[in-house]
Amino acid sequence: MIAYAARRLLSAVPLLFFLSLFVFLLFELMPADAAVISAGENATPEQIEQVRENLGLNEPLWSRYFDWAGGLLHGDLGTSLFSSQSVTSTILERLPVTASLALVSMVLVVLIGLPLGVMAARHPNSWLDRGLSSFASLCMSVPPFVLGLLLAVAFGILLPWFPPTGYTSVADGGISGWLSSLVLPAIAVAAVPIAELARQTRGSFLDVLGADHVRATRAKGMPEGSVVLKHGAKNAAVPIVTVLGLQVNRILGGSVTVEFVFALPGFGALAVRSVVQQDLPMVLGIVAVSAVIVVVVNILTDLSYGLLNPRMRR
Amino acid sequence: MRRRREMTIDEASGATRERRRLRERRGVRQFVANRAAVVSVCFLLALVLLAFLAPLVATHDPDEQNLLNKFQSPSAEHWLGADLYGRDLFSRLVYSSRVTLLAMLQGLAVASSLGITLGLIAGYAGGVADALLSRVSDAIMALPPMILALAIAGILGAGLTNAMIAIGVVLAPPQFRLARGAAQSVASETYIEACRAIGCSPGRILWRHVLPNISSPLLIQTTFAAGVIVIAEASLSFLGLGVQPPQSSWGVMLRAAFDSIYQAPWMVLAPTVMISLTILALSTFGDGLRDSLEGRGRTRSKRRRERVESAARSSV
Repeated sequence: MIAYAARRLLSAVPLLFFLSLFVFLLFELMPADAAVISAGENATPEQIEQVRENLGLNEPLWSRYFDWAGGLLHGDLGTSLFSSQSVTSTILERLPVTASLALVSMVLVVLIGLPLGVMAARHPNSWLDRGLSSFASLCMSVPPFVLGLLLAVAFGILLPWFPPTGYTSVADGGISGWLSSLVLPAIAVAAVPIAELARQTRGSFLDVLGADHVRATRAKGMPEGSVVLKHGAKNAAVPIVTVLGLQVNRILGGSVTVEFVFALPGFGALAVRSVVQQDLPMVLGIVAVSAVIVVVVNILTDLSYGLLNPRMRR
Repeated sequence: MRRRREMTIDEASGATRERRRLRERRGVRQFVANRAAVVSVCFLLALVLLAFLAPLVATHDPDEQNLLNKFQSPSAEHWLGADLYGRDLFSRLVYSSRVTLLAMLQGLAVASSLGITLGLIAGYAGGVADALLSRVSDAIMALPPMILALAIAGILGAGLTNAMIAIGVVLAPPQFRLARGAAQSVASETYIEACRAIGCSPGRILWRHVLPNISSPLLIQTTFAAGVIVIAEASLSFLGLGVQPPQSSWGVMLRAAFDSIYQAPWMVLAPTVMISLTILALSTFGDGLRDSLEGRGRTRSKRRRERVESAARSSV
């Protein structure tokens, strides 16, 4: 297992290196010029030239890349073009909000998606199964921010049960204030992942519960509950974990629009603001951080395969 | 002389043409039997018709302002009410379907031309080109699509075309992988070698002999990509990076509804319904296509793997 983990971790190194190169070059190819943006609208050509020199943009491409990538390794992503604040600290300030949103959504996804999927698999083609499948299709057709708008109107404005905008940290409003500011956005972000997880769970359990070894446990008189949980769950887990891992990607993407709708000061809202301002170092940092998050989650997913299924450790 | 020989080889590559025709007919029958898929096709056709006939269907000029009607709720005069400037929301909704179709065409054009062309080249040529292009495709797939699309669209500058270039780049990798795989797997087949021997250009080989092999998975992939584009257009326009007001799109209408959410919360409903129905229709259509084109000869575990993969692809 340790060898497997080490191999998996090492294989991420070239990917991360290539990702950093790709992202850097992508931004290099863009028509936006950091010096022009930073100097402001009424800058003279001399001023722009001065800013360019100050930002180090006259250095050759490769030396700028190594500067940036070297900083990345130290956790230094450069400085915002507008606030002269460090990109790293701005992102770190915002991450707890998004992490809270992701946490609450993930809890909803697992608590709702898994049981729904198992229930559908226990009674395939029943009205429950068909109803759940239609419900899942419907959930997947509403983009997160649209669902967010609907929820904000329904449960924030028409029925004022939850605050329609704003974020309350645990320090300010305690656990209940924190949670109530996150309920609506978390449902908006979680709806599609719930549907997807339920579908995947149903499929995996259907496969496993039809297998011979499960029939054998039933035949020897094992109670249905332990058949499903002990023999079903373990074998159905790998594809379910795969889909769960993919949802982190989805939640990160969904947070962009949903945080905007609910005015949550998180990572996604920062992305929108920086993109609108064309704050190049900030956008570059955001893309880099989200890439690292995704790569780390993928590694964790792969490691969990090793835990769940020893055959996969090879 | 050369021409005649080449014809025979073209025929040899489709030696089972008769069998293929029978299979196609069975596929069509299977698709028609799928009621949900047929309904979705009808909905999508109606949407195209609506876009073309927008001036006939709309009851008002979509940009005509009349401040007396500000935030008027739905009535006989304004079927879906009026917005902040008193513009008729029904007419705006109808005209917005044009933007959705345009966005789909642009986004798919970028995704397919990049993905398929580069994929065929990478798979056929192999070597350095393949290694490099595959790395780039992996890199794009490793990034959260929405964040990458947002970054590219924002830095190219706000506007529908730029937004669709961004989303096209993000959606290209699945097409790239399909095309690359197909080109790679047939590159060493005898009939390709025969084509090469009689002097077909690589372009012709890829176009006439490789591409037709993957036309059905590409079609399915394209349908799902269209759904992602509808979401992306709505999201980017909502954030102010896609379609620019006063031009209208469903995303722009949602933004207008969001900006006046306390005065006229019902404005959210109409664009929501249209966006969701369109996405639902596209995904149902895609499922129907997949079942009828690839329904046979697939094991359950393979289908499951495909589901996982398509979940990965469609995440924005």
